[in-house]
Amino acid sequence: MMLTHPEEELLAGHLEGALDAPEEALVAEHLATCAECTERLVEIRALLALIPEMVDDLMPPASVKTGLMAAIERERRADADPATVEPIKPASRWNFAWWPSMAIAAALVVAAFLGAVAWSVVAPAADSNEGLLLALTGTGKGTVLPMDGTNEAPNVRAALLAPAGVDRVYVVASNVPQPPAGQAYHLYLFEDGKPQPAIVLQPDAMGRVNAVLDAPLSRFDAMEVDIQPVGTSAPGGTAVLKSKLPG
Amino acid sequence: MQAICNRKLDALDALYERYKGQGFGLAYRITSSREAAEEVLQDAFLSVWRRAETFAGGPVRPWLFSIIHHRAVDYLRRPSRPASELDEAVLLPGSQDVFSDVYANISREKIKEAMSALPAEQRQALELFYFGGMTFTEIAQTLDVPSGTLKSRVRLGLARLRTALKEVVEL
Repeated sequence: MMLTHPEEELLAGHLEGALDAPEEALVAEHLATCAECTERLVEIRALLALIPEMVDDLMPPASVKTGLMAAIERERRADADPATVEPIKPASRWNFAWWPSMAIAAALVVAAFLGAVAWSVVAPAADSNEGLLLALTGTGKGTVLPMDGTNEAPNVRAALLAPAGVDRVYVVASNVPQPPAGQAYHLYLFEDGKPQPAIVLQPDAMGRVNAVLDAPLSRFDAMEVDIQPVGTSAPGGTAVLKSKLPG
Repeated sequence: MQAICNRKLDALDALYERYKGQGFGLAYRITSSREAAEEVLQDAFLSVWRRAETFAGGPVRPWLFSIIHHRAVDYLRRPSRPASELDEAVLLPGSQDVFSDVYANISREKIKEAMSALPAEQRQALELFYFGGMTFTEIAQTLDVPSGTLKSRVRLGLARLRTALKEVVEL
């Protein structure tokens, strides 16, 4: 049993979870009955709280804020009407009825990429939405990466589907509004943080987008879709989709 | 903070814009990974949004950074330790008056100077203690020194830090 007041570093260690279990038990037991040390604990916490001030600033990417706001929006929707909230698993949001049209659209828009690195492969249950989507690509196995629109396009739902065994990625989206005159949706892929223009996406009259990239996406670490003047080749304008990639 | 309690998203937006640089820097310093720091920063602000009512007043800055700090340390410890203990502890009110006194009088540069002025061994011990997410035993093993020596360095470092900053505030 600890009879004397613990040294300062033990109180600091208690605050930071840095004590081994026996030491932690002794300090906690002492604090439970010692008002003086409880006061010291408050003062030490204030002292420790100064340490972050020595760290230099570093700017986070915009996707952090986008993700934060999207998460809050999902919670707000859930709070407002739990009955209508969409499930966390975005793959189940898809309307499969329009999916076969993808094959036609896919033939129209293909971008070629070099390299050959395989995606991580999953094998979804045959009756899952992911499994169904992948079955429609002709493989039944692969990766489904769902994503939500940014705050600029909160109704957009999209997904990348990467069938196993082929360097091909299907891009599908719904609720995509027509771009303003003279502008288009440009998809960029980021390799080691450097953007590369990949494809221009054109929504149909129902706001659906289907496209195919002959791309080993494992080479890329992020993707972004921006509304920009036609012919633009670098990210900018209004971002409607942003996501990290499993590459 | 009151506006965030009242579910004003603009207020959270303003808080994020004000502290994102320092918050991300802190998360990166601890996790040494941009991806992890992004996750930590987003998680921390989501926690602020969800639990703003637990904020007990005083300056927001140390409260926010303590959340980011503990989230980042939890990230480091994720494989071996539960996150709940620190998460609960960090959001407990009670020390805001002390924070308020401190932050009313101390500039960031003053704190940097105080840390820089510590003897190298004490600064290293404090940095590993605060940013490393390790126990005293683990830090001692990392530095290849006895646990008692490591604890002495932390104690002396804290004492010197307090003395250096006492000129401008009562700690």
